[in-house]
Amino acid sequence: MKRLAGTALVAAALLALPLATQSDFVLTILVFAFLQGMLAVSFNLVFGYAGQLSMFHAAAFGIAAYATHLFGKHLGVGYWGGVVLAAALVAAISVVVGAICFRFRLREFYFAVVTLAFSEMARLTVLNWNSMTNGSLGINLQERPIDGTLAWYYVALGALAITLVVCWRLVHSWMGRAFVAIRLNDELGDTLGINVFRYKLVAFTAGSIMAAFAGSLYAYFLGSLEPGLLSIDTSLGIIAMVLLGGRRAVAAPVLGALVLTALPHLIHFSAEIRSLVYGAILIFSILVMPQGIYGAAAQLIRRHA
Amino acid sequence: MLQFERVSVHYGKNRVLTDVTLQVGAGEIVALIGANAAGKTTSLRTALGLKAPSAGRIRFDGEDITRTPTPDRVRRRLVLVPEGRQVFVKFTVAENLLMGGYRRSDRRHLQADFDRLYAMFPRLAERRRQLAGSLSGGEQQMLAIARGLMAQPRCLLLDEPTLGLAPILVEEIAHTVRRLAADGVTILLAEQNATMALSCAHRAYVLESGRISLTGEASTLQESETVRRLYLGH
Repeated sequence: MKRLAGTALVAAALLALPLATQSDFVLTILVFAFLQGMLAVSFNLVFGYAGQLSMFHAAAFGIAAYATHLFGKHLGVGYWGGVVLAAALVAAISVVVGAICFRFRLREFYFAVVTLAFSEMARLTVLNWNSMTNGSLGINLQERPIDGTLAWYYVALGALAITLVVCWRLVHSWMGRAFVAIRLNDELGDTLGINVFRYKLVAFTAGSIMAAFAGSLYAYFLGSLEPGLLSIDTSLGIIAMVLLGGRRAVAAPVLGALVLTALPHLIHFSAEIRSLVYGAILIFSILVMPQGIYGAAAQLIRRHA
Repeated sequence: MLQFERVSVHYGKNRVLTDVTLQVGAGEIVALIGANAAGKTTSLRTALGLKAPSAGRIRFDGEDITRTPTPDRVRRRLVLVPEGRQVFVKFTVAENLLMGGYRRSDRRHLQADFDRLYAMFPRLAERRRQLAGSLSGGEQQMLAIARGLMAQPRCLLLDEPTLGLAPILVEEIAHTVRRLAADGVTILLAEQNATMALSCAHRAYVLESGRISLTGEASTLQESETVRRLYLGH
């Protein structure tokens, strides 16, 4: 009940926030944070719950961004048609990649390395398929499917909310229990008759689909496509957000996304010093708060309650 | 109820089971005794479908289940309690039990089962909210058995339930096994501790280097020279 009230309060505050500030600067940062939050929350379904360190998340994000544009342009399905087709494409690719990895029972670092290889294959394809992707120069997106920062604010907030609800429902279902059981001990899961292969694949594919929606939105808010969307930097950024926010609650990674998205804009140093400061903050917080901001806050509240 | 017909199992090129034929009748307690690496664990894992046989057939209720995936076998209530007190250490006792009911078609209504198992294992009831990792070895073994019972087994495969436990706990496990059988659960008990296994079982098979070397009534085997010399230590 308390949790429900808290959630309602946060939701109301976020819905009403544009009444308090019309600042384009603030809203822009929040849109980026919400979309990155979507990415982090869906990644955490795969990593924090099902225990699979997927390095394919950035690829799902970037493939969908490009595919949305290309489907829209070449098939004439418009932006939203492109979004749906891109998600379907990512789902299909994820099933193949996931099936290969899980059929060969790749675990932990082996799984991370192989998904990273698939991710790099996707990035190199985008980089070199000049006729379609314009290579390293990327593509400037002319269409404005959503107009104005305020509209984007609500779309991004809604998309994040849907992601959170879907992940929350999944995690608190029998399937979610199976995800955690697989993370804790997948051999014992097998013994109990849990279909480990199927559930790993479901977690991986569901996470990728949500990343795909995030990618379709992100690129159009940014206004451009570039191969860097699929890079290992994006993957590492997602991991950083999850570690900083926390892994043990569905919404915790959003905190990490907020901090890491806002931070670069709030630290007014030259670019080189900025990334140093940014890295230092990240290392420091992970050392001091291994359970992330969420875990540290929960502990603080418990101590004072 | 459970039958092996000339089952062989390989790990790579190593043959670990050779032509194993055994059967467990409904309501029976059957012991599978043998030394380390004789193939006891492999036999049980093969029965559950965690390891595919390279030859032979496995039947459950007379039906060929040799190629049936593990989840379907568990759904038909063929259940394994693996060796080494395997529990989810970061789940609470109650959560561990819940996972045991994963393949139940009525898994939304498990309260009666919880009540029954907590009555059967009062120490688990006291610790239901504790992490399984904080339990003692004996308690973890009880939890593993209770989790198996959550699946409402008709045939329960117990892999070395007494391994590393103090004599008093061994006696408690033996008592639990007899009680389950009295409730109508069919049990295949793999044990290195032949004294305990033969004291519970109706019949037994002796497994030596992957082959069945001896079989008979438990009482007969208790008297057998070979068994006494090799497994009972007197």
